[in-house]
Amino acid sequence: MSSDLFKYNDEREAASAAKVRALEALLIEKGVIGSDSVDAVLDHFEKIAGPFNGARIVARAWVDPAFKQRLIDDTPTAIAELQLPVGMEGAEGEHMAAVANGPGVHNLIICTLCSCYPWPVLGLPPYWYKDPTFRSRAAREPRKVLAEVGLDLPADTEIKVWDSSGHSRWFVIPERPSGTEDFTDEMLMDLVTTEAMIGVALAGPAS
Amino acid sequence: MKLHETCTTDQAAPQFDHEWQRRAFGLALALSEFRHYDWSEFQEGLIATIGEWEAMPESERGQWQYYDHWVTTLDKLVDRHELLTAPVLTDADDHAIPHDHAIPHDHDH
Repeated sequence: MSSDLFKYNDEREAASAAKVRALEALLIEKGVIGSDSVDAVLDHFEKIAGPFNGARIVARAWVDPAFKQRLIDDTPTAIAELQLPVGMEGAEGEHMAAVANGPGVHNLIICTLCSCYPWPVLGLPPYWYKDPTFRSRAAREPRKVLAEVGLDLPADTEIKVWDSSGHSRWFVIPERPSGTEDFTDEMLMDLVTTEAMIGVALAGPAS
Repeated sequence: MKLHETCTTDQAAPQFDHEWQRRAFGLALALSEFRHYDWSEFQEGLIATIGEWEAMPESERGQWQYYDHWVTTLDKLVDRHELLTAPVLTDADDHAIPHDHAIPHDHDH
């Protein structure tokens, strides 16, 4: 039974791979896209519009409380102040909304429609993030799910779950780790991970 | 228990289990970037495709594979916009012009 299932999945996997290969080749052959178009787009997302943009935003919020407030009040305008590399127009950068962790409050971002993730700031979502089990369980029992992924929050910490949608694409400003008072902006950026900005982890501890 | 091995280890890299998923991702974005469709249309298509999968009985729908839905959506949009069937329009520099943005035909001649 299970081997049949795996066989089916292998076949489906191969069929999807073949379909993608054929589609790209046909679109290039017809001149709809160039031979390097897909690589150029992937390069942009993997090297320019990635989570380091989010890390810059968070690090700035840590060192500049006024900026942090503006970021919470009007996220796109505050982000525009930083003059980050321009994201793909219309591709996920609009409707950005930041929520801040603080004493006794932890924020978790989920996306039940699974296509509303703020790529230009967070980079591409981790694979498991789009799994329906994660999405539905995180909405229902966030404390338990967070504990399972290694984030044990005190019982009295309030957990707020935010569902990203076409109208609001949320990301978390994690708390600044203690012992980082002398850190440069670059050192602070290194502490900010994609997971911390989704809310499934805290910003890395100072080492 | 971890939900997935990439959880809490991801620092920056995009997460794809297979190269075809990465190509499918890039292809869908490239077609949007070159204005063959609006990104919102792809998103709405993806939501609809996943909705159809979720509405199917569990016994019929097979294992969850996000990028299968991605590819199904891509296929639908390529068909809908006739990207492989319509003649390619080119501009003065020999670049393809998306049909939706092509200069309207002049009916006065």
